[in-house]
Amino acid sequence: MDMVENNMKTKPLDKSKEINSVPLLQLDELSVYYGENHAVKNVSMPIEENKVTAFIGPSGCGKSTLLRTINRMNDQISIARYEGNIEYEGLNLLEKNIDVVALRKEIGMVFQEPNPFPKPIKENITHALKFMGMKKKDMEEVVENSLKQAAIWDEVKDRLKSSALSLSGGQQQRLCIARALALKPRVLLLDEPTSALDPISSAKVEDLIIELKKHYTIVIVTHNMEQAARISDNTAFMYNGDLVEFGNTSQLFTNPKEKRTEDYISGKFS
Amino acid sequence: MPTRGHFSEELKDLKADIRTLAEDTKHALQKAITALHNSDVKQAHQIIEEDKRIDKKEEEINERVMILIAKQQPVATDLRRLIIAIKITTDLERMADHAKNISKATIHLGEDHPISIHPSIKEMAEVAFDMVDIANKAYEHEDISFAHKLSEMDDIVDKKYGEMIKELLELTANNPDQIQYLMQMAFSARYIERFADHITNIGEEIFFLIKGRSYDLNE
Repeated sequence: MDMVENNMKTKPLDKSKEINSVPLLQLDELSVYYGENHAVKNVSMPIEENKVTAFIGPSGCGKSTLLRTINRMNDQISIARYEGNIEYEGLNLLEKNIDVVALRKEIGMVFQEPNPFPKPIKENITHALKFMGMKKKDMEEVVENSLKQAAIWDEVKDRLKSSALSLSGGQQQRLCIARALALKPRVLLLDEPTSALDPISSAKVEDLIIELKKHYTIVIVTHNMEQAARISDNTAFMYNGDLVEFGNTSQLFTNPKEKRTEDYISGKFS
Repeated sequence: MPTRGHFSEELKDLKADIRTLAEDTKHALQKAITALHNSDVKQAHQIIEEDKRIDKKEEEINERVMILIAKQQPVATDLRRLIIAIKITTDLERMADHAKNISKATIHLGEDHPISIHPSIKEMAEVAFDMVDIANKAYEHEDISFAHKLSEMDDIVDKKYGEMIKELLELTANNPDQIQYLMQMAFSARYIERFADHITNIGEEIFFLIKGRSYDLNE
């Protein structure tokens, strides 16, 4: 799929790739401004392929802004502007000529509140596929695979024509993940995907995230420290727009280098 | 009030209780050495009985730590504080067991044994008492400079133990009729040496707390 309106192409997707530590995305001196507000300040970090990277930090620290910058969701905010690079497959995703629609297929997003379309479960998956011109018989396979990958197939396979709104909150969120997976992304951006869910539903989504990282690169924003510690491989702690510390999650949660990180993850931030 | 003030208070209380347990353990060894010197079998029995209280205290502390971990979900330094609380408490309980073992040796020797207690026993014990005080200070202030000192003092205990065992071996060769008594003395020296090793472990645990990495001070 062309992401650049010229003739630059992304490489074909290879979903069978083994886990490795090659950065798929490299954030380099990335700054985001909302008008005069410098919301993300000169952030540099790798996003490793087939790993879960968690962004943590207090409200307003810039973590959601950073996440939304990766697939240019902030473009919809007129006063938002960027500096620096997000390198992906030899492209700078912040370049003006990037086709953001193609980008968002490659780098999908799931939001805090489950937001299924008020349509049948199956149509939630096929809606975007129709726009892509996919044939009906191919869609059947994508629907089943996406729902299976999102670990919700067994729960909905007998009621695909029921309204998605009849599902529980946790099921709706997994359906939203399935909807994102149907577009065959390489990266999934998850913005507090379990904050509106009960502990059981959250646990299912967490298990799902760990499964999905075998095939996808995942970046998650979470306010839940324990969740970040449980599911992520790397963690970035942000404060006031700065990246205070980035590193291996086990190391960051047991022996952080920075006192501000220690205070925050220990709940002693003042 | 700082955030998580209650948790900080609970950590403070826990530390105070562990420091008290360390004092109790030191007193148990002090009494055991006195009973050994005085051939005080009655006192030795009392020390063995009192060890049950230390065992119970260990269980209580471990349970408190488990509840704190479950309820407070600590990370980083706080997590290490709780992990070393369990480890230090286990070391202290073992140390008290060594005081109990010395008391058992006192009982085996009986009130009318023919040998005099080797002076190194008392010397080793004196160093061990100082080590408990230093470990307690190191733990209270979370200070690794104190912890370093423990390693040096443990070397003194080890050296005295080695010299004493050599002497006792010579004595057994010349006094075969006293082997059973000399053996009890050798055991007692060994228990003090192990007691000191456990204090050195506490030094290592304080290193782990401060540095977040393991250290071996017992080498």
